[in-house]
Amino acid sequence: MNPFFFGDSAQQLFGIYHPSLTRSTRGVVICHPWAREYLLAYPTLKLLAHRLSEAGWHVLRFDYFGTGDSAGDSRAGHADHWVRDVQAAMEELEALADVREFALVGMRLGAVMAARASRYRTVRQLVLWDPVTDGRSYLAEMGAMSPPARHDDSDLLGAILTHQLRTDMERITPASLGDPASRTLILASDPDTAVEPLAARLRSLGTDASTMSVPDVPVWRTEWERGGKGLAVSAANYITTWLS
Amino acid sequence: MIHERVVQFGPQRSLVGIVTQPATGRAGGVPDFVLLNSGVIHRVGSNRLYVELARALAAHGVTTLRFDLSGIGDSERRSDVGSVREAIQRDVTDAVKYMTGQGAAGVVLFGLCSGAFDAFRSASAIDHVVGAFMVDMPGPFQSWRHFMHHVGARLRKSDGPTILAKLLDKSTGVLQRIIADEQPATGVDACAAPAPAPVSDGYVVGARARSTREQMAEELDELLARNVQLYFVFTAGLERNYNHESQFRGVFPDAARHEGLSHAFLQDADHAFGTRAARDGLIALVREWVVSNWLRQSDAA
Repeated sequence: MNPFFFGDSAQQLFGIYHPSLTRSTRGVVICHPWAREYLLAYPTLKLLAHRLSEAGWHVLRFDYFGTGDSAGDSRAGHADHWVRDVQAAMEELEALADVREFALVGMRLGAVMAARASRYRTVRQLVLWDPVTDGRSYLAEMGAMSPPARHDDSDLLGAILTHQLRTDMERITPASLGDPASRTLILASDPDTAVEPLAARLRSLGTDASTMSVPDVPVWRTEWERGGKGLAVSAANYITTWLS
Repeated sequence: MIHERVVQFGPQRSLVGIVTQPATGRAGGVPDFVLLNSGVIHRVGSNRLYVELARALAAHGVTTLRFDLSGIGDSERRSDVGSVREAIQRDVTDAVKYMTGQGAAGVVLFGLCSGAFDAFRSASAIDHVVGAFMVDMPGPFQSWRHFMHHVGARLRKSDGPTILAKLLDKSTGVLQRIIADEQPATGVDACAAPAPAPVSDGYVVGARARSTREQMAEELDELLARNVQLYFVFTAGLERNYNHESQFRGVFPDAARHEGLSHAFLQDADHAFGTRAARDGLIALVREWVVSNWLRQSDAA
């Protein structure tokens, strides 16, 4: 495991590279969710990275600009920037490990970024893990879970919701995820995740899209619990098997 | 301008952190800061508090290390220890050694929640520590006055006369139910949660046996005698722990009078520092403390 900064020095991104444990030219970029969901899902996405590297993938997980350890003020990020960040991560992984075949895995808002970035280069496989497919519902859900704003009405669960970001999110629909050409898995670990509208749209575009329900901990909204219930082990294992 | 770099240190370089430093290097005589995990939240801190704090301090010439304790975030578990408590002590010691090896004149430990507890404990155990800044540290701060503030707040929020009647009728059982009926803190409050499987066996709770009030009074005396600067900050978000401005002074009157110790109660902040205003307020407090304790002295020298 190799943590490092990459990209433009003024806008450096923090990433962690997990080399494949076997000789391979296959690489996966993991796209995090956002805000509180990012913090809560972090251990599970680290686990997924370990699983994938053991299965013969070079893996890069990273923080978008203005989030986590990456450069940028918390107000600086927006959807287009984050899609470019996914593309930069793919370039970095190619440079690091001579990757020729890419897959992207995105959780929640990260699934939106992964889908939009999947037209870049040759993304053979795409995993959308409990994807956000309705931005307005997503914002409502985040807002409903948040403490009352006392000083700044752009605070949302500890993150800053700028006007641009709110607009970006309100525009998220199944159609806004683009036209991924890849073999696509839409994985629902939460029964509340609506996968069929997105799957139907992707199939109508000719994408090889499948859906799978793998009941597991909705790690992006579940506080860590005793006894390992805070990790979505079944979902991570399913994704690893499906990609391989 | 600031500069950030990834560092790995400790056994087999298994501890992962980020050093944030001013492009111009350290200001002379100013200690480095080491930021300690809040529960199992990785080194970015609750709602990115630690990233924002590190960058704000670097703008004032202060170098900071935020890192993951072993088994948390991106740091691997260490195999050279017999207990989680020992692992925490060794991790913090390794972090302090790393920074002093890089030229730090001394180190200030900073932590929120369990991180505050670790900062306090480690400050007692590590010689190079010259200060500790502790936010919402769980500890023996409760007192009769704390309890009365608690009941008063409950009466104001609820059906006061009914609760009062129950209090008079049934005494302590009702009091206990009132306490048990508290709402948990809002926001990302993972600090209070036990850790997931890779860091189980009580990483957050069990490994941190609290001192009694008498023990903590002794520990405070020892730290202040060593000239370690201390700052205790409490928020309104952890009411069960702390709920009024003068609580620290009431519980530790001698230490509170010492010029090396400061304390504050942030009435408008939540435990997770879920708003930008709360984070900015805390960062301003840290900055002022650094300026008054080290930067002014450095300028004078």
